[in-house]
Amino acid sequence: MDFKLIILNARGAKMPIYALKTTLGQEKTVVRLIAQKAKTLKIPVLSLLTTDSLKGYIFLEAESQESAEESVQNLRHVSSRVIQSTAIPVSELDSYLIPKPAIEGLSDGDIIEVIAGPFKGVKAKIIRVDASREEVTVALLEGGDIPITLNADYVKAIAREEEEEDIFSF
Amino acid sequence: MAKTKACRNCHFVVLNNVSQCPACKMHDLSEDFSGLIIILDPENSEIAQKLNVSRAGQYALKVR
Repeated sequence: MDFKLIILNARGAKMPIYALKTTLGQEKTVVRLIAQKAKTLKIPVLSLLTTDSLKGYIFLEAESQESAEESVQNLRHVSSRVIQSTAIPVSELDSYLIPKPAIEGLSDGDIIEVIAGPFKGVKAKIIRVDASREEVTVALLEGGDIPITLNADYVKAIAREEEEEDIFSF
Repeated sequence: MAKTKACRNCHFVVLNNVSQCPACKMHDLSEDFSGLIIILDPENSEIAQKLNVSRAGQYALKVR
């Protein structure tokens, strides 16, 4: 066992996790390629992780830095060197592994922007939040009196209710 | 790349032509998922233990 692994074990990590830089938009392709290569060549890679919230990077859990770098050697769309030689503790990845519900932080009166679907790019005001179904009912700001119910994943808050009042108080 | 979908129950990722999740045997599959975790060694992987995964394969982080 090398010295680095002894230090990591003392910190409570079983296997080191490394971050690698990839071409934007190619994260899923890269993790699938690494998994295939590791399986074929029997490189001790334990798991791979890519999240939508961290674009251009992937995480790789391997036995050592050498095996991590070996698994990405000569692969397209990924840097062949790990970002930093010190491993990332798994607790640091908690925010990525357990995504918080999209409905969190949204409340009645907030101004949102629709980010997907036929109303993409349209701004609207939340009139009702259904936390159990993770849905919001909104009224479009530009025309249309019909309320629309959307999944909370498809909206992005752009102004809170109080902020909105401040805007109109001028 | 072949299209994939994920199980709403256990987040296991399968090919689009599959109608039943091979991990939990549920039929509740969705094409709308985000994030990807590939577990190669579930026994020794700390990420697998954190996610309570005991079967190697591809998993989605969030399934809608």
